[in-house]
Amino acid sequence: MTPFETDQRSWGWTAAGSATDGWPPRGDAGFLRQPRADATQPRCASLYSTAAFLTRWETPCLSRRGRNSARGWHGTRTQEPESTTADKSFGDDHVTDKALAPEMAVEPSPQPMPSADTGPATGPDALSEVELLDAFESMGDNCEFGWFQKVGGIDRLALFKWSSAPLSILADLITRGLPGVDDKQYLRLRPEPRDNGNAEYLLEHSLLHTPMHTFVLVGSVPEAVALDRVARRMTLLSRKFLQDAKEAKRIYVYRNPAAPCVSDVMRVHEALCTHGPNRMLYVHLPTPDLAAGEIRIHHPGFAEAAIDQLTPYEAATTILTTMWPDILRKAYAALPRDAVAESFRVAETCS
Amino acid sequence: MSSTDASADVFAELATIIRRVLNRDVELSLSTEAADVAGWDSHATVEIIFEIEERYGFQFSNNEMEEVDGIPNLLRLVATHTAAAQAAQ
Repeated sequence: MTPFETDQRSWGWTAAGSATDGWPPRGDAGFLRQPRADATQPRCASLYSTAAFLTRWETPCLSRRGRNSARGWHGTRTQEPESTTADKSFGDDHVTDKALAPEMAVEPSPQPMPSADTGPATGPDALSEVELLDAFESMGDNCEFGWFQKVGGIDRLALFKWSSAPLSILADLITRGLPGVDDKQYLRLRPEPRDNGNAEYLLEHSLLHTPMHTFVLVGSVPEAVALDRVARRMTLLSRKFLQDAKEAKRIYVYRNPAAPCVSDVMRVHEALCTHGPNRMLYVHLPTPDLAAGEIRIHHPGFAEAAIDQLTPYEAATTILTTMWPDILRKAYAALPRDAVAESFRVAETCS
Repeated sequence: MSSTDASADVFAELATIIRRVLNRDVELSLSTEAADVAGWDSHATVEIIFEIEERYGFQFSNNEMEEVDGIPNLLRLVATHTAAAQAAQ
C-alpha cells in the first residue's frame, strides 16, 4: 500500500496559514515566496508581450543548477544576481505588495476568493477535498496528477492528463488552437503489454510528440475501430480544452521531476493566456532555493511549487507523496481566479 | 407519442450507446450513475458524449460535458437540447 492509499479519502491537511483574504496571498506560515523585485519593468507591460519578460525569468532557472554551474540553461553561463529582500517569504519579513515585481503589485481584493467554478466565494480551506481537486487540470508530464485526481473522485475530461508532450510543442499547439491534434495522420496505435497479461493500445501522437494512454485493450475492438475512437476523443477533448482555456476556470498543473526551466514552463502558460486569463502551477522536486511544500509566485497567474516526491514514469499510478493536497491548497490560495483575471484586464488595457 | 414514451425511447437509445461504448451488456436504469458502472470513466464519457452528439445532432457545452455523470443527467441534457431544437423549428 502506498502512503497515498492509506490516506486518500482524508488527507489530514495540517499546514497552517492559507491566504484567503485577497491578493497577493501572504500566509501566516510563510510558505509563499515572491519573485525578485524588478523595478525596471513598466507597470502596464502586457503580461506576456515583451522580450524583457522572458529575460527576467531566466535567472530562477540558473539558480536551480547553481550559481557556478558550468552550463546554465539554454547552454549559457549567466551570473545570478544577488538576492534581494524580496527573496524572503512573505511570512518572514512582511514584504509589502509594492516590493513585488510591478505586475504583481495588484491591490488586495476586498472580495473573498471565488470557488473553482462560478459558485459562491470561498477559500481553499472551505472547499471539500473533491472541490479542491476539481479546481485543477493536469497538463502532464505524466499520469501522476490525473491519476491522483481520479482516485480522489475527479476524473476530468482532459486532453493532456495522460500525456507527456514536450513543453515547446505544447506551447506552440495551444497558441495555435490545437490544429490537427485529432487528425488520424498523426495518430498511431501500438500494443503496450500490461502487468496482468493484457495489452493496451498506446497512442503515439506524432504531432504532440508523446505517447498517450487510450485504456483500450488490444483485442477488445479491432484496431481500426480503436483508432476511430481515439481520433474522436481527440476531437472532443481538444474542443473542450480550448473552451476551458477560454473560460479560465481551472489551474493547470504541470509536474516534472526533471525540473525544466521555469521560463519553458511559463511559455505554456503564455500559450494558455492567449485564450484567457489562465493560471498554471509548475511542480517539481525540491531545489536549493525552493523547499518541499513551498510555493513561489512568478506572476499573477503562474506559480512554482516543490514537492517531496514525484512518481517515476514507469509507475505513474503509484502516488508516492501525501503532499499534493497541501500544494494544491496553497496554489489555490496563491492564484485566485478573480485577481488573476483582473491583472490581465489591467495589462490588456494598458498595452 | 407521450413524453413518457419519448423519455423511454431516449433511455433505450442512451443505454444502447453506453453499452456499445463500454463494449458489454451492463445493467442500466433511469437512476444509474457513471460511478456505479465499472469502466464508465472519463474516456468512456468522452465517447458517450460524442455518440450522443452524433445521434441527436447537437453539441454539449463545456459545462454540460462536465455534468455527464450518469443516466439522469444525460436524460435531462438530451431532453433540454431536443426541446430547444423543437422550439427553434
